[in-house]
Amino acid sequence: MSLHINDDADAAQSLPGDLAIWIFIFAELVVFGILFAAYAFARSSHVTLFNVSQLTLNRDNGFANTLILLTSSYFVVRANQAIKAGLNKACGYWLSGALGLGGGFLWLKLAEFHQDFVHGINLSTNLFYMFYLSLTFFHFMHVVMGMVILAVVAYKAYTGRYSAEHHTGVETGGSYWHMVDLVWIILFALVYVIH
Amino acid sequence: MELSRTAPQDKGRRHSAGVIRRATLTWLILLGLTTLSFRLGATVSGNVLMFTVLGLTLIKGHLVTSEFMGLRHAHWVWRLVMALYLLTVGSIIAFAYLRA
Repeated sequence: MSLHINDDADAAQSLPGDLAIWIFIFAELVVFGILFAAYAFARSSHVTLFNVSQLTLNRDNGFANTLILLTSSYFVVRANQAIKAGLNKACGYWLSGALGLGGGFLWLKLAEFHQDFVHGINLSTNLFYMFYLSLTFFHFMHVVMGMVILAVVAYKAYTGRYSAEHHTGVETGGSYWHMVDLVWIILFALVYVIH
Repeated sequence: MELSRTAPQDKGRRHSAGVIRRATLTWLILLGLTTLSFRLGATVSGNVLMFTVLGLTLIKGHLVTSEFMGLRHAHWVWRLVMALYLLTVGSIIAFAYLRA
């Protein structure tokens, strides 16, 4: 019995950051997975509508936003590496860079939303736009939440609250940000590329 | 004495530099795979595009979870859960697109 408990504890400890954030991450991934499946099955009954509507999307923005999020994820990895080396300021700088890129993502996405609304596109325009706007706005809110978390972690890094030995907060915030990136990678392929 | 004090630090720095090199390479591969997916989307269509881009997306997902999220060093159960998630989502999407 005790052996099983120890095994479970080892499995939990080997994840970077708090176990609680990983339970949250897996729950979020399941929700997004269901939404992706719903999009794919809805498309199977309305292929022409989805293909025609997809052509109106700003694919360049989708592409740029993917590069932006991937780069911000890389910056978070560098922040983790910096704090493991005991470099608080460097950790803060890398996290600030990731935050700046997150801001760039939001800016481009807002520009896309603005263009949609200027052209009279909304949730009730058709089934594709209902999914497109819902999925991307839901993800948008996750980016905002991820940025709030990263901002808190960056502040704590700047003020020396972490060390090479104690930096669970950096790993926890970073894991959430990588999840936001992972979801966008699938979303980009599904909504912007595959047709 | 001097040597024994600096040797672990040097080892730590070398390890850190190796980790950064690996992360940088992963980032560049991710940018490359994204560019490839984007270009394919403009030139290819149908099931060929769907399977190719889904495959590239699963590779990208694996790289992010394994290298960036650090699951490479985690217990195998966590790696399996994440791999199953990616494969399940990819399979459901492929199935839905094939029945269209």
